Amino acid sequence: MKDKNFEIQEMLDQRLRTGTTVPQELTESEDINVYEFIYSELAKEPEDGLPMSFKANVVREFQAQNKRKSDWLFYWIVVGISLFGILSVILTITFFWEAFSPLWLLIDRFKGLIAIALVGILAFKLLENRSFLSSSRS
Amino acid sequence: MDEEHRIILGIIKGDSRAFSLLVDRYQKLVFHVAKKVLPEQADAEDVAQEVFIKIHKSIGTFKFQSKLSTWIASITYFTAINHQKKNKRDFTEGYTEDSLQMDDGQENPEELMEKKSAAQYLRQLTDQLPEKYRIVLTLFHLEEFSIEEIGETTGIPEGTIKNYLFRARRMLKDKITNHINRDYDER
Repeated sequence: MKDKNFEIQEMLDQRLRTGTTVPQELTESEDINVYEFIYSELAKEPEDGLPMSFKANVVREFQAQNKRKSDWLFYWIVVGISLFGILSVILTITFFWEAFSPLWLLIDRFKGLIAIALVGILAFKLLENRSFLSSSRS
Repeated sequence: MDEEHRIILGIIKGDSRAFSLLVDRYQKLVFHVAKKVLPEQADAEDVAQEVFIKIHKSIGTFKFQSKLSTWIASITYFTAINHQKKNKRDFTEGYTEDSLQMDDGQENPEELMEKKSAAQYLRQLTDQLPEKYRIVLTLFHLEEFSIEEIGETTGIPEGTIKNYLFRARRMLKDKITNHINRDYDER
């Protein structure tokens, strides 16, 4: 024999889903009023909810993520093009070494000057960074 | 193509209006599910935000094998469970199937009824139920999920869901009936 509570719940579940009416013998039960009250309260939306700013915050995060994604894509394209360029230069020099002989002679003649220029540029960058850091601290 | 498909395609393409529509449509579901696992408002809000970010990242993997609402509810449920584990805040930990007696809290039901309506008393009783009972009640009654959909969302077998629903509602009914009878006797 089915439990009375089970029968009422089963009937109310059916009514909830299909809109069928509750049989007469069950409506006479005292429990049905309590169950109907429980069912109606459980279906009510709770008073507390998300703050008004929630949607704006989530959408902002969505936009920030999309921007990061497109930035990454841009950086990868730049890296790809740079790698392709470097590789092309290396291959050109390797295969046409003889064609660049005047350039090698020029570099050989001014190697001291080139080295001084490189050291000078590096020293300038270093000093620039240090002065920028000290000015931002003060 | 229905609107749900259009929203999903829009999100994949990075359209923030489509994402905004999705948030509008599902923020209540996400919050209700999160709140049933994590009673603290701030925790539920954090999880709700995390869920929408997860949806954005993994929407491309949604294959329409289930309803979008079931998929979103499932992400929410498991994100909330993980959050709860990380913060070790399971208020109903140690609850066993045999201990089917709810704690009325510090105040007795009479005191509560004097202060609050029957609906509030029922809400308090519901909040004291174990987390799995709360979640199946919310999904079934508030979100109108079928038993099968609740199973897809939570991973709980259908027979167990039916059992949880029956027991939870019966416990609530017994508590409220006892309270009404006691109140009536005193008058």
